[in-house]
Amino acid sequence: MKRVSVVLCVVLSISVVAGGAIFGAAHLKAHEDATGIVKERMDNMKSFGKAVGAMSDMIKGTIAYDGLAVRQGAKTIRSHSGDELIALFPEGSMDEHSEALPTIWQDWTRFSDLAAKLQTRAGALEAAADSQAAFMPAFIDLTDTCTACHTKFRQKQED
Amino acid sequence: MARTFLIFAVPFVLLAGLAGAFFLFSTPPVQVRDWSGITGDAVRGQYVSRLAGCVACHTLPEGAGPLLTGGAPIITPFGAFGVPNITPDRASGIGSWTRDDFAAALLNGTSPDGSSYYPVFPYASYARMSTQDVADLWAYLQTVPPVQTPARAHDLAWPFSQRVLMRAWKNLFFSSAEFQPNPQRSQAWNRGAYIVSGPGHCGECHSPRGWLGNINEARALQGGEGPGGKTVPAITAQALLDQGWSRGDLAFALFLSITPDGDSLGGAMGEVIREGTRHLTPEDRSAIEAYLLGLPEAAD
Repeated sequence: MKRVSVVLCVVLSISVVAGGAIFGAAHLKAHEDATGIVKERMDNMKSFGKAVGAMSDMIKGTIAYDGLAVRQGAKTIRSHSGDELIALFPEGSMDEHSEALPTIWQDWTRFSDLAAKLQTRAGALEAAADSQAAFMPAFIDLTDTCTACHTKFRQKQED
Repeated sequence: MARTFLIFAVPFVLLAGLAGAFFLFSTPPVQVRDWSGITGDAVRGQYVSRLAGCVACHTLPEGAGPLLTGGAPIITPFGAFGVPNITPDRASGIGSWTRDDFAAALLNGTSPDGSSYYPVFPYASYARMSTQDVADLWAYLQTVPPVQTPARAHDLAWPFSQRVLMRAWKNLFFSSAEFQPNPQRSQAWNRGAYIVSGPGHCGECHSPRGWLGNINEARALQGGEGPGGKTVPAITAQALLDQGWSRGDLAFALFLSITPDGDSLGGAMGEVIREGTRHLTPEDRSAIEAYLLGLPEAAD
């Protein structure tokens, strides 16, 4: 079983590299775009992280609760998740910087469900922002979506 | 001259070889615990099952299989390990075990048939668990619904497929004993040290291993390799402080998976948090933090 998977991985990697080379030679710009999209989605994730980090600090009590900042942060996530987020993951878009796992395209339904859920839950957090009591459960729902996706679909690279 | 040398050398080499083999394959030392006055509590045991990460490894992720009926195979440099069913099913689980069988598995890495477990089952850490925690965990596991799910077989490269070698591995590398608190440190620090080195088995992934899979205790928590050969970061106080972790951050991450820079931890740590540390008391998460960050301690 393991040997089969190893062979499969090797064959797949060779096809991806070979396909990429042929595609890259014919469409040099497309290759540049592929590098660009990895950066684009990383910047997108970083903007989510910035919002989540600020909200985490409010929970830890290192900064005061700020409903307006919560609403704006949640809006950032809502407006760049769902369909916009999955559009940043065209099939096979991985380079040496990317932390995306190939399981994204093997289980696209689950991946796109999580991206949609992220959008819904960011919307719910946006609506809850005025009440600190409603904020906490909405924040947990939202960040559980981040974790579910990162657990299945991301391999963190060492900084 | 040469013949005289041989007459003395050959028996010497043979004897040395025999002594070596005798040491390697002799019965590894076992821990003897005092069970007098100890009664298992299933409710506390359920908590210990989270503390010890039983659920994360012995259950398929995302509700793909019933609780504790066996998890996804663990991929290591030695091959793929099947993760067994630990529900009380008599045929495929641990339903025919006694408490002593269970304690021997956790504390000595020995199965009821006397063979040794592969150290992928983190008994080198569990061996430090308190007798009470073992008793509670045993009481809890008997309340889990029994489900018949046969264990997936290991798929290991030779010679690691020869389980008898694990006896030699134990004689070479296994010497853990029950955790002893440091009276110089606070109660929280000691609780954290117990969790991290014992049931929490953090070092199984966060410490480097030698080529035979033995944990390098001299470089404990300096970063290692997780399932599937993935790099696992260092979690020494220095490494954590360098990466911007400060008081409150670690306890928070062990609850919600979120790092100080707002990232969300995934991979194997995502599972550890979701199935393990999230279910702990805030006091225990803070104790882990106090121990790992080594911050100045408040008096108890």
